[in-house]
Amino acid sequence: MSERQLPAVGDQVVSQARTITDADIRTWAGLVHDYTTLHVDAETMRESFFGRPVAHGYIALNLAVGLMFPGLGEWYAPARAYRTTGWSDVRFLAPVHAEDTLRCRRTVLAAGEQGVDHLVEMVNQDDSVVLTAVEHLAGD
Amino acid sequence: MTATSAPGSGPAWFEDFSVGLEFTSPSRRLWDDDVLAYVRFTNDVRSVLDTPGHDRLRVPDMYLFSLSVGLLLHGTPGYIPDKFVAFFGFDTIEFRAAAHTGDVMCSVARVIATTERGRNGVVTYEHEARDDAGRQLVTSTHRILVARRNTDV
Repeated sequence: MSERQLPAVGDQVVSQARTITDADIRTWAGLVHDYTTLHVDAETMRESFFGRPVAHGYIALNLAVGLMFPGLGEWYAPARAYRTTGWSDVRFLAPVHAEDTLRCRRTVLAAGEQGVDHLVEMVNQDDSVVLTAVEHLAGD
Repeated sequence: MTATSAPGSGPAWFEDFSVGLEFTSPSRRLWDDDVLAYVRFTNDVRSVLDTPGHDRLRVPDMYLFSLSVGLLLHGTPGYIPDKFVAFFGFDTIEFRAAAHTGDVMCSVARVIATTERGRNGVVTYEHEARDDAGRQLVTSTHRILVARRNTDV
């Protein structure tokens, strides 16, 4: 049995920040083969409601994990193990554009021998929450 | 539920969707380069640090999931239809089995519900990715908003 102390319900961490760039959007498009107009066509998007391309929602979702490293890595994934069993209620609340700066805020919702649930919030430079979700992690 | 393939040109409007409609992705092998590029992008370093003795890299779960959905854009037409309005998000994402580089995967998304909502309608998908051995790797449910043909509401 692990001697690692379980996190307490209500524990909260905030990650370092990362500014999203045009290069990030294009890199992500290539990683998952998603060159949808919404994300990569500046000319078309100039005439749209958004006025410019919108970053893939998956970027914020995936950075919710990536931003845990290295500073919060041991808190999130002890011994760098893959512990996530799944996610629920992933909601994209506001668009993310190039030059927005995102942080990940995590709050422990539940903790027990069976596992840990995190409320995940991606927050931009204006303190607006752009994504919420619950991540389910297996127990140690 | 009886699965039916989407028509050749794919659904465009909400009314074109029905429960059981199925969208299939092409298959794709997962390469070391994929994992390394993902690690560089996200900084989720778990697949590449302190992994002695492993000749194949573990594919990060979130990359596996994200790519499995992205592949659907290259399969049966209409998974994201012409009259797409918005993406609601994922109600559930569940990781069923680990994948490693060298594995081949493909995805399928099935319509499990259609619900009118004013001038639009909500299409609910159940999605799964499997490897070439038939193992279920990841599943999700997600919803999209699609415009209705008849907007006299």
